[in-house]
Amino acid sequence: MSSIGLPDEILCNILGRLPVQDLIRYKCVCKTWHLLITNPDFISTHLNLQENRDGYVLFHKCIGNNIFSLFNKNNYALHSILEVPFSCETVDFKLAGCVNGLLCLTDSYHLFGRTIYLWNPSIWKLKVLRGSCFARQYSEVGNFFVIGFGFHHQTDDYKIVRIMYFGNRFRKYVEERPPKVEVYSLARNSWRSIGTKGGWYTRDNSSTLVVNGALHWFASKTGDASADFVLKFDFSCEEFGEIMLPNYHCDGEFTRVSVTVLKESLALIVCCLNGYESERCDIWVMNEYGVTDSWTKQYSFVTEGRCYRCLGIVNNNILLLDSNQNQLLSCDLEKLQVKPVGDREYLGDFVYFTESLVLYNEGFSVTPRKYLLVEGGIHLGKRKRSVFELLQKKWL
Amino acid sequence: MSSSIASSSSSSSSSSKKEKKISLKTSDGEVFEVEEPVAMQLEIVRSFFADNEDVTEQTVMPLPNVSTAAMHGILEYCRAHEEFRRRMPEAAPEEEVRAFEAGYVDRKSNEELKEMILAANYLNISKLLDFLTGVAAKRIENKSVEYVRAFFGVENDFTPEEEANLRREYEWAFEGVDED
Repeated sequence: MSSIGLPDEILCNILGRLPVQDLIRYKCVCKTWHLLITNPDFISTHLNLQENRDGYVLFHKCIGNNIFSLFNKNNYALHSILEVPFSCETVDFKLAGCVNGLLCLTDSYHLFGRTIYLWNPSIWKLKVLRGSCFARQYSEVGNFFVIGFGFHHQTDDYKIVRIMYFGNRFRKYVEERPPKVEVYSLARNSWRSIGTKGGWYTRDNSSTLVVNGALHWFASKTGDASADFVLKFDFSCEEFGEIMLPNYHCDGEFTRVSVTVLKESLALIVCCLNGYESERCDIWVMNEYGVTDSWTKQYSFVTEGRCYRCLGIVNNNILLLDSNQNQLLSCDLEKLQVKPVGDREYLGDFVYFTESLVLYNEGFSVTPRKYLLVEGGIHLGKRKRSVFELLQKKWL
Repeated sequence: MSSSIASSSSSSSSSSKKEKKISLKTSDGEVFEVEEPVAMQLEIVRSFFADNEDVTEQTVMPLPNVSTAAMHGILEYCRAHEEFRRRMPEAAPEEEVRAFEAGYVDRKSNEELKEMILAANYLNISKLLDFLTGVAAKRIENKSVEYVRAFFGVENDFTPEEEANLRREYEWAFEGVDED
């Protein structure tokens, strides 16, 4: 059979659209493909082209197990179940975030943020981060960690920001002793300490909110100027900054505010609560990044007591709500339609997930059929065959 | 439905309506008279006519990298899209476009598909190239290594030991693959 060879550029364009399992298999096609598929440029091309495929919402059932459920982001059909094939130092993991298919896991409770597990479940690659710039204080009992995880497009690098609070992350402690901050870069594979004047404390335990090349947390100021604001950490200059909030008014008994990202803009979910039920939910969007006057109330809807917690935004147009009737609700922001999408058992942390080859050239393989004991006591458990098959199931 | 579009567009070349035509000559010497809005979808043609002031309506633009067979396929696609655009200039009728595209590629063999990808790349029709590479990806999804080698005409240059090692290392990636 005569056959036509295709130029590399076109080949990348075709292969970049394939699921990860196929690519790992096609490394066997020939030596050129083997090099091409694991080339960092191809890994980026693949990431960009995966936007053509359906993404997933990955839920972590919170307590007592380390199982993630993957749902199709469009119809919330359960796609597969993913069991973490290694164990951590506490009973269960905490999901700190997911960027480009790379999960950022850490221990829970008092060990939160100390050891960080970067895991790409699509290629079964794991990288465990145990170091710190502040080796002495790092292991002190009672210190409290907050982390941020994001991808910096300009440098094509994954970064983790870790804020170490002495005692706890509340005003009293922070005023006594400002937190210390360090940043990990996957490209450098090291932590670097970051100077901060302090005067603030973050309200979120973790964040993956990247807008305009910076990570963001909902935060408060210490001292007299006690006010809420958005703390930003710029990946390029590795410095902190502040973003003021809009003057959101709320007539509930109290307000629950969280920072989020909506269509690549910084956004704010403001829930007005009476008792345990929310009355109204407003979504503010900062149309022009960094310009306080550009905050606009883009969406507002009455929840009529159907929900008591806003979980966040998926797919840029769906607000996920935790209902007071054991249900997960989705609210279409454009149509303002609320409908149930699943059981409460899936509630907990969730992230947006896509397949990727990120971390291919780093870390170590979590082989499915071997039981490994790795330095530091991380057990790499046997992966259940059935779970494995589900994961590898052909994509819709 | 898709065939009706194809036949109406091919007959339009002989229709009495006076329309500006552009002549394109393929590698095997055949000259295609193509309606201007269709030809302008070919970026290489558009820039050729935009950048050269001394070309006239009589100019025959040579396309040495495009075969007659590929040209037929390319024009069928471009004409159909021009037709969609003319009927609904605001928003393309998505369902219809999808139905046309599905029928359009179903008739193409793998070799024809690759030939058209090369032609679309050379003619710089990004929309078609995007579509065809997506089709090629779908055709090799969840296939065996052997199938993919045959599809792309790639020689296996691994020694049997090297290949066996790779297969052993990534055993999990070889499960649940479609029959060739």
